[in-house]
Amino acid sequence: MPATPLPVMPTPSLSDDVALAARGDRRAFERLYRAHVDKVFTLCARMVGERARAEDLTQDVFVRAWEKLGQFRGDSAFGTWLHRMAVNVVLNERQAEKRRRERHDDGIEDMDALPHSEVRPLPVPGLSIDLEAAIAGLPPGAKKVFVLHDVEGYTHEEIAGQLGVTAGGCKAQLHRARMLLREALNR
Amino acid sequence: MTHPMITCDDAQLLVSDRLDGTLSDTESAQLDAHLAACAACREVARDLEQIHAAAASLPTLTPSHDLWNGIDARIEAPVVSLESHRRSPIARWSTRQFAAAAAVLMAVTAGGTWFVAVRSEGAPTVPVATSPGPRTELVSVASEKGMAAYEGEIGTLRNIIETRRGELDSATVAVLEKNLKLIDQAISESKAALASDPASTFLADQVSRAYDTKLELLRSAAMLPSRT
Repeated sequence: MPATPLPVMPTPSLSDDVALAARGDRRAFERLYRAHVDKVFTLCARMVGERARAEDLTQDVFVRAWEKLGQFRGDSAFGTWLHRMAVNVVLNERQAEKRRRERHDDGIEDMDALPHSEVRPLPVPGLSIDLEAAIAGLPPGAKKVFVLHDVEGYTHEEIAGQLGVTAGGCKAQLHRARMLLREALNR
Repeated sequence: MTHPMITCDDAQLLVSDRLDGTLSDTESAQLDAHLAACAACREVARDLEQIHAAAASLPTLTPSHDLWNGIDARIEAPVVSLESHRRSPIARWSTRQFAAAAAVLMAVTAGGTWFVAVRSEGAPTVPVATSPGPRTELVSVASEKGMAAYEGEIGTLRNIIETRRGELDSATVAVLEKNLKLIDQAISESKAALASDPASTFLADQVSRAYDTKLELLRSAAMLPSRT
């Protein structure tokens, strides 16, 4: 049979990969991982302020995503769904840590009771290093609100829902975070 | 029009509100009036604006190492289902391509090459593949039988790929060969190390993982649709 010029096999798109991964295709899931890992890691790193823990949490996020892929309905982009899952994983990890420490938690302020010695600046090269270090040095509650609002673009209402606080409390915490950052950067 | 004076604390809160886009016209006028008269608050406003802008343009960070292996180890072993492949939602794949891929996979399973590697007599193993079929064979990769099972599977898949080579995109084949070469090198080095230290469960596990990676790559390649 004479050879006929044939089109090159199409590379599966990310939306194809979501469907394939939901059916158990780990190769497809690995492609999703590679497409999204930096964004997930960035969120985790800025929210916890410590690289090793952020890497552990990033793994947790993707394992959770693999387990929950069957529940992804495509109502939002996969990246958005994954991002929200990352927020949940980080916040839940904080809750678990707080339970381990046998501290009562009923709001943002309690998160700030965690010792600041746990917060270490990330070694991020470039012009933004001062701001990165200042964010890492924020109290945990203020840091979460600042990262979610000013860096990641969530609204006060969304953050309030995630953290179980009022939107007003969230705004106050954000203002506090900004003022603390100003103080740190002007030091 | 005059506006009631506000304190510096209130003004700075309004600066934050302005950054969030939640300031009313009245509040905006109050803030402007205060800033016009207060150099300290103007400085705060300028600083907060800079922080706000810088935060929105922070760079994306990258983990210090590839986290995939850790994730891969934690998620369940792959289940390759003929049904799922037949029903794949990739619209760009034709029915004929799916049929060809399924036929290849069936040829593999018909040859009895599906097996599951599980822990056996303390030797570390890795789940190589699972099939919904009733027949499973227990092998340890560190054993001669385990090695033979891997090699047999690899040989079968190699033959399928070789048969289909003309149907596959040449660039894809080139990438496949390059990756297989790297994996073979890893297998070779791991086996050499294991020969020197046969009791090492870590090294046996490394061999298993390398074989597993090779098998997955070959299976994926064997099921690639042709260029039609």
